[in-house]
Amino acid sequence: MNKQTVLYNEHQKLGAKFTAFGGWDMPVQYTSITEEHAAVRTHAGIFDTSHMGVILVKGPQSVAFLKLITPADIDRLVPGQAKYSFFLNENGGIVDDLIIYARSNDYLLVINAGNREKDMAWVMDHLIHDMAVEDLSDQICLLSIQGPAAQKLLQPLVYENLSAIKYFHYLPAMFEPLHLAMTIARTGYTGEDGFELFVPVAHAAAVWQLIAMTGARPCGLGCRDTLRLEACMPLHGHEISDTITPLEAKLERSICWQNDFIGKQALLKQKETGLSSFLTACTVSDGIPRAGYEIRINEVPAGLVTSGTFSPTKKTGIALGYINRPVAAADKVTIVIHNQPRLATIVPMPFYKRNK
Amino acid sequence: MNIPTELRYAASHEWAKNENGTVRVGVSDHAQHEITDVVHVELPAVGKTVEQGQPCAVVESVKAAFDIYAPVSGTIIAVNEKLSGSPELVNQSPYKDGFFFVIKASDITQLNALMSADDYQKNLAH
Repeated sequence: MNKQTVLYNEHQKLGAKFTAFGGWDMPVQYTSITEEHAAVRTHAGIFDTSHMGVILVKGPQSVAFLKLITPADIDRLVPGQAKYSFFLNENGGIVDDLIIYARSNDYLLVINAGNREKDMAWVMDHLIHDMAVEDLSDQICLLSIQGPAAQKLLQPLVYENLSAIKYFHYLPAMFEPLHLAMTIARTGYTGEDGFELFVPVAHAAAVWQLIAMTGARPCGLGCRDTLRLEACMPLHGHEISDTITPLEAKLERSICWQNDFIGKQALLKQKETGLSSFLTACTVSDGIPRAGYEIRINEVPAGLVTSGTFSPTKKTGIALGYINRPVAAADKVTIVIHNQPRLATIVPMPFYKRNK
Repeated sequence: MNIPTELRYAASHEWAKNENGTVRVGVSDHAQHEITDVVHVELPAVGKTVEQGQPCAVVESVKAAFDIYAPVSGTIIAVNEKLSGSPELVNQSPYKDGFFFVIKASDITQLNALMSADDYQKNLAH
């Protein structure tokens, strides 16, 4: 039996189609994935992301703890700022990816819905003295408003000046129609400008309705996946996993090598021996690549697609996947779609980048 | 849900229309609705032999690929070329402009194994 988010009734009222994701019944679309995708690229969409987990880390040793369990540069993270990071296992594999929000006295970690129990167990296993963690997932509802018009639509509802929030920063803010204190962060998972709102669950439905009334289009997980894939943002269980390292996933920029985090020795060793698995982006015009499809280089099996879809923006098949060697210009790359190898073109990441 | 009475239906949601021994094939209004936005269709080559109940085409939404099964055995004598450039015709006009292909049936009585509109409707209600 899947869990239902506090906004389940709102989704039903809007006629959403539901899908199981990470143990939750989530709206996959309300009207059309391609239309919802276009709304976020050209105007604004609102997403229920309340299935995401939220872990509070507090106590005097919080900094030491986070420097141990994540490779993030915690010392340079100041209150009001957010940082993309991960939990790594001893082999350097990614247990989960997360965003760390630094507050004046503690930290909030936003983790993937499907990894909530695993992450909590992993965090508890590594606890040190003089700090504590708390699972706040059932108290906080995360909502996301994304798209070029996000700021314009949200601003009339919020007392604070949203333009003062820089990318990967947040502000404690007042949601005026409800006189409700909430946290608003300039983060997202779509490749567009936008905000993520930390809303007390009791007020989630009212906040959702008020934002939807601004003209932000309700958007499901279907377009969330196509949007993040066009922007080449990794999805745990696909581009990143317990057996894939941040070096393989091209995420070294998120590693602070000065810190002694769990998994560091394995990563250093991998740097020394070199990679054997290479994250690659490609487009396919004849067919739609999907996760699990085989990638071949010059007719020889060389890897698998980790995420693939039809790109609503580019109007072509797009895929991310791992191959066992870098591709040279003369190599012919194919993806096996419906038992037939189809020509793939290696392209730079990301597939889509917004104009700033 | 639109279920024209002159057509026969497979449990896998294809419709079949008897046109004097050739059979025109597409997917039902219910199917296009469940598939959601069709963004790609892969059709069999003209001249290909197909077998009743076997997959012979693929229809894809943004999220997933679905097999299309031949409602009768025979030879493909025509395909809907418009679908390669305008796959959305499957959503807009599932029974007319969004048809998939035409089969020259090897045994037209195989159509009797398919459901009437009435039975298909009852089947959907289950």
